[in-house]
Amino acid sequence: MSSMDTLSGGSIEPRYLEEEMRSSYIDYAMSVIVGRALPDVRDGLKPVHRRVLYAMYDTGLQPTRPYDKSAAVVGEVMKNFHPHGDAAIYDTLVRLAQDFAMRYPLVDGQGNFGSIDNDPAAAMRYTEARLARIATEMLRDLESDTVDWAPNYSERRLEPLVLPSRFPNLIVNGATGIAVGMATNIPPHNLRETIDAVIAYIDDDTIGVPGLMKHIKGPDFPTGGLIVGRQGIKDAYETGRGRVVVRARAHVEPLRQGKEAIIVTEMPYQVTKGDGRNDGTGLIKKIAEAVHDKRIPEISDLRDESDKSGTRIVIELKRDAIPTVVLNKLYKRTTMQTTFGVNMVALVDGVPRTLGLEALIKNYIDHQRDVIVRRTKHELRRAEARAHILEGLLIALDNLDAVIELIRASRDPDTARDGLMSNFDLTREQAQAILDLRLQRLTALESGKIKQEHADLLERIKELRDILGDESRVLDLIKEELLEIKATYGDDRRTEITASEEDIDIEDLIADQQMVIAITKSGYIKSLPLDTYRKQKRGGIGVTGMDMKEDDYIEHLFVTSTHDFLLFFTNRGKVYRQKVYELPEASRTARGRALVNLLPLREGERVQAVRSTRDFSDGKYLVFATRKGMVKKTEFASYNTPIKADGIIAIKIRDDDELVAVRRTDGDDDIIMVSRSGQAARFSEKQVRPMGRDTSGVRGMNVSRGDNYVLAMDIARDDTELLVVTENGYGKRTAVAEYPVKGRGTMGVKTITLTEKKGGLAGALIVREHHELVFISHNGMVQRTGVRGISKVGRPGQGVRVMNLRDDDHVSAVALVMETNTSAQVQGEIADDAEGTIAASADGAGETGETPEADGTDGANGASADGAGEAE
Amino acid sequence: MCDADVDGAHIRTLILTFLFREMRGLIEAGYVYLAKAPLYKVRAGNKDLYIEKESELEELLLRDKLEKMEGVDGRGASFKLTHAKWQKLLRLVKQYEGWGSSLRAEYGHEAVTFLQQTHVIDEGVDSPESLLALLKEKAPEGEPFDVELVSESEGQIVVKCVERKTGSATTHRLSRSLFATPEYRGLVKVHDELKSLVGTPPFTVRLGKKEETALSFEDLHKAVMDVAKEGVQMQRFKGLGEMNPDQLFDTTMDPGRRTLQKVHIEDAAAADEIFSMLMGEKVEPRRIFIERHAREVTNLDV
Repeated sequence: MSSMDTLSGGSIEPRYLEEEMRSSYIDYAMSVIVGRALPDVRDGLKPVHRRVLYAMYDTGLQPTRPYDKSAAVVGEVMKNFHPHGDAAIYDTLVRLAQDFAMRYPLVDGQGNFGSIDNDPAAAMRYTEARLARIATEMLRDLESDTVDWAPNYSERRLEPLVLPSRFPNLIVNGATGIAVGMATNIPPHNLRETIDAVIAYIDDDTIGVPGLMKHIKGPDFPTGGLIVGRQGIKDAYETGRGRVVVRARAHVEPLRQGKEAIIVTEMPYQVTKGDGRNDGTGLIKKIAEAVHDKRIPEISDLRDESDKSGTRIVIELKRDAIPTVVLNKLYKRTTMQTTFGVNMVALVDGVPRTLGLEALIKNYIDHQRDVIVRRTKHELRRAEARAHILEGLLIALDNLDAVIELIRASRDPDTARDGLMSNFDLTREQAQAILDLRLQRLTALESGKIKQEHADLLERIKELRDILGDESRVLDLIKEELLEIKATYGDDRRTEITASEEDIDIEDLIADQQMVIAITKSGYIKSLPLDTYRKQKRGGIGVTGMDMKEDDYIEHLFVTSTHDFLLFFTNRGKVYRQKVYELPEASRTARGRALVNLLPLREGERVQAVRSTRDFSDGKYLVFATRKGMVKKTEFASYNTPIKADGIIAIKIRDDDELVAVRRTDGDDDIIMVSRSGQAARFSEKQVRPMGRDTSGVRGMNVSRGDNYVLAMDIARDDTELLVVTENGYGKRTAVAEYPVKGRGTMGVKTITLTEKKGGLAGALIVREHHELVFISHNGMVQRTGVRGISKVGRPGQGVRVMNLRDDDHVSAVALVMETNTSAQVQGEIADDAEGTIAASADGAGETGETPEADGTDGANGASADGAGEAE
Repeated sequence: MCDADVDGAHIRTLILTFLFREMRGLIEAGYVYLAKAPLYKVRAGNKDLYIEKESELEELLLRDKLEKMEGVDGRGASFKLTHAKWQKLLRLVKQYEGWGSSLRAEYGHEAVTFLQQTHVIDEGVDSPESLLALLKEKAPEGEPFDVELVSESEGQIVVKCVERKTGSATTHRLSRSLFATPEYRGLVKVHDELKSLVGTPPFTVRLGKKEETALSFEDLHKAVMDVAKEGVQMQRFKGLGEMNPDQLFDTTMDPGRRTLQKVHIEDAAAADEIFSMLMGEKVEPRRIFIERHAREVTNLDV
C-alpha cells in the first residue's frame, strides 16, 4: 500500500518500526562482527589490517625498498579497499608499527609512532612506513593462487579474503576487538613457543592442552612484565576464556639514609606509563592519586626516570615502610597489576566462535595445508602448461625441416598454425609457440636448453604430484617452512610466568607466632614475641620493667598470635581493628605506642575492652553491657568488615552512657551483671535477642536508682565464682551457682552486704579457685593475692578486707594474673579472653619500683568505671 | 536520512531509539519518515538509473540478459535460465548454504566440502551404508575426484579423496552421525533439486564475449551477475556525501520522485522489547538475537 505524496510524484511506503529496527540492526551487527571487529582465525587479521598489509604489498613497500609517506598508504587503502575514515586507517597503521603494542610488529615505521606514555603518533603527513620483514611472511605465496579473492567495494579491483599467513599470526600477535553482542581479547605469544606447539600438534593431534602448554607456557607480552598464576592461562587455553593476572616488573633498591625505593622496569601490557594525552590514565598518575588519597601513605616520592635505555619508575618509600607491603598495595590499588580477560573469539568460516588453543592451532594448520596444496597445484598447473609447450617445441625440433617447409608454404600465420596443428598433432598453444620461436633457438645450444628444461620440468612435475598425493609430505612442508621462520624471526620470551596462584599475601611474609600484647592504663600499646617475653627471668612486664609514665600500669595484657585481629572496643561503643602484626613491636623496656596514634580515637574516647580473634568464628555472638544497664547481643561475624577509618559502631550508646564490658558467647550461656550497689543479675543470654551492630540493645539490669551503675559483666558458669571487691578494700567470693537465673531487666539479687565503711563496689570478676588476683588502688598500690586467700561465702556475705589501703586511697581495679609459666590447661581456661595483668615479679607485689599516681582523667570518670584490669 | 551503508543503518537505529524513547508522539502521529538513498547508479543507454536495493540492481541487470545467457554444467549439458528458474535457484542456493553452514559448524569445513565436491552427495548418499556401497565402485568419468575407503569403525568412516587432475590427496574422517542429521538430509535434497535445475558443477556462463566459471552452486549466482555486469557502468554509493547536491535532490529529496518510508508502530509492547534488547545494557539477549537472525542479513557491508 503506498499513497501519493502531497506533491505529485514520489511515493510513500509503510514501514513497521520493529521491522526496521530488526533489519537495520542485524545488517549493522553482522557487518561489524563478520567484517570489522573480529579477526579471521586463519590469518589473525581484521579486514582493515589485511587491507593495510595488502595495499602496502601491492604498492611495493617491501622492507628492502624505501619508506613511503603514511598518508600515501592510508590513501591507497581507503581508495581501493576500505571506504571508511582515514583516521581509523592511520590509527591501525600506527598500531601495527608500535613495538609496545604488537609483539611482532608488522609495519616498519619511520618517525614518531607514539609511545608507551600514551603520546599520539605524529600526523600522517610526517610519518613514513613500509612492511616489516616478518610481514612479508604474511603475504608470501599470495600470488600463487593460495587464497580466494573477491571484488572490492567498488568492484574495480580484487582483494584477498585471507592472507597466506605463513606464521600463526593470530596466536602470536593476538587481537582485541569489540563487536556487537560479543568481543574478542586474545593475548600475544612467543613465536618460537607457538611454532613448537603447532609442530607438536601436527605430529600428534591428541596432544591436548597440557601437552601444548609444555611448549606455549602462556602469553608473552611485548612489554614484558610478569604473569601471576597458571590457572587463568590454562582456563583460557582449554575453554577460550580465562583471567590472567599481569604485573609490572619491580625490584627494590636501597637509597641513602637507610631508605629504600621500588623500581619499576616493565609495565603490564596495555597500561600506559605517562600522560601523553592528558587523560589521567597513566600508571604514574594512578600511583600519585593513590598516594594523594592516603591509600598508600608509605610513598614519599614518585619519579619517572625512564630514558631511551628503558623504563624506570622510581617509587621512594618512607623510612620504615616495608617494601613488600607497599608493593602489594600498589598491585591491589593501581594498574601495576591488571587482569587480562582472555576471550578468544575469531571468525571460522565467517562465523564468530569462541576457541580454545587446540582449535586455534587446528584451524591454522588447516589453513596452511590449504595454502600449501593450492600453491603446489598452482605450480603444477604452470609446470604442466610449460611442459606442454616445450613438448610442442621438441616435436618441432625433431621435425624441423618439415616444420619449416610447412611454414614457408603457408599463406599467413593462421594457416601455418592450423597446418602445424593438423600435421603434427599439436594443440593451438603448441603450434603458436613454435611460430613464435626465435631462430636462435634452433642452435644446438638453445635446443639443448629446451631439452634440459623439459626434463627438469618433468621431474618437478613428478615431485609436485608426489607432494600432492601424500598428505604427510604436505605436513612436512608446513613444519619445514615454520621452522625456517622460527629460526629467522624467533626471539626470547619477554614475560615471566610465575607460579604463585594468589596475590602475595602479606601474611605469608609474616610468621605466625605468639605475641604478648600489653596495653597500659594511659593508652600505650606494645607487643613482643612470647618467646622473648618468657626468657625474662622476672616473668613479667607487670607494672615495672616497662618504660611508662609514673602513674601508669598495664591494664590489658594477653597472648595472641600475629595473624589475629585485635578488636578495640571503646567506651563510646565503637570498635576499631588491627592485625596483631600491624602493632608496634617493642622491647620489654620500651614504652610502646600511644593508642591515640594507632586508632582514630575521638576526644574522651577510651579503649574499654580488647578482643583478639583469628577470623571472627570463635564465638557466635558478642554481648555488650553498658553502665546504664543496657545489654546487647550481635553476631560476631557481623563485625568482620574492613573497618572504616573512623571505626564502626559496635553498639549504639547514648551520650550519657558508656560501654562497660564485651564478652563472647555461644548462644547458651548465662550473663551476669554486677552493679555498684552490690547487686548481681543473672539471666540467660537467650533472653537477649540477637540484633544488628548499630543498635542499643535492651535493658539487662535495672540500675536506675540513685547513682547506681553497672560495674561489670561476665559469663556466668556454675563452676565458677563471682568475686567482688569494694572501694575500701573489702572482698568476697561466692559460687555462681548460688545466683538464680532470672529474667532480664531485674534489679538483681544481693551479691554482698554493703556498709558505708566498705563503700560501693569497685570491681567484680568471675574467677576460679586457682586464679591469682591483683588489686590496684587509685594511688597506685598493687597487691597480689590468690583467689584461695579470699573467703568464699554465700551471696549476702559481708566480705573481708583483702587490700590494705591508706585513708585517701581506694581500690580502682581488680584483675586476673596470668603467669607465663602457668600450665597450658589453666591458660586454656582463661584463654578465650586471654587477658590479665601480669604481676610485677614472682617476688610479690610489693616490689613495684614506681608508685603510680592517680591519673587525673581516671578520677573524672570514676575509678571503677574504667573496668581497669578486669579480666574479660 | 542516513548513508546507505551499515553504519548508516546503525545511525538510523540510534535515531529511532531516541525518537521512540523521548518523542514517541511524533512516531505515533505519523511524522517520522525514513529517506531512501540510492545504493547504485547504473548507466543504461543514455539514462542514469538510481537503484535502492541490491535486488533491484539484480533485476535491472538481468532483465534482458538472463535469458540470453548460455550455461554449461560440469557434465557438458547446457542449461538456460528463466526468471522463474532464477528465483528458484536463489532460493535453493540460500537453503543449500544454510544447511552447509550448519553442517560445517558441527562437523568441520573440510568434511562438508568433500561431500559436496565429490560424487557423494551427487549420488544421493543418505546413510553410512550407502556411502560404503558407493565407495566400492570407482567414481564416474568426469568426476573431478576419486574416493576410496581407508578404514571404518563404529563411529566413523575414513576416506581418501584424490583429485584426478593433480593427484592431490586428502584424508577425511567422516563421523557416521553426520549422515543422520536433518541438516545433511536437507543438503542432499536441495542438492538434488539444484541438480535438476541447472545440472552439476562446475558451470560456465557465457553472454557474448564474457564468460565466467562457477565451481559450485553458490558461485553460480556470482558468475551470472558478473556476466550481466559486463559493460555496465555502475557506481556504488557508500555515503550521502558521494552524491552531488543535485543528485541527492533528484534521488532522495525531491518530493516528486523520492520514496519515503512512513514509520508505524505495530505493537508498542513488542517495539519496547526490541529497543530494550538491542539498545539495552544486557549483552546476552542481544548476542542471542544476532545469532538467531544472522541469516537474515540483507546488506553485509565490509
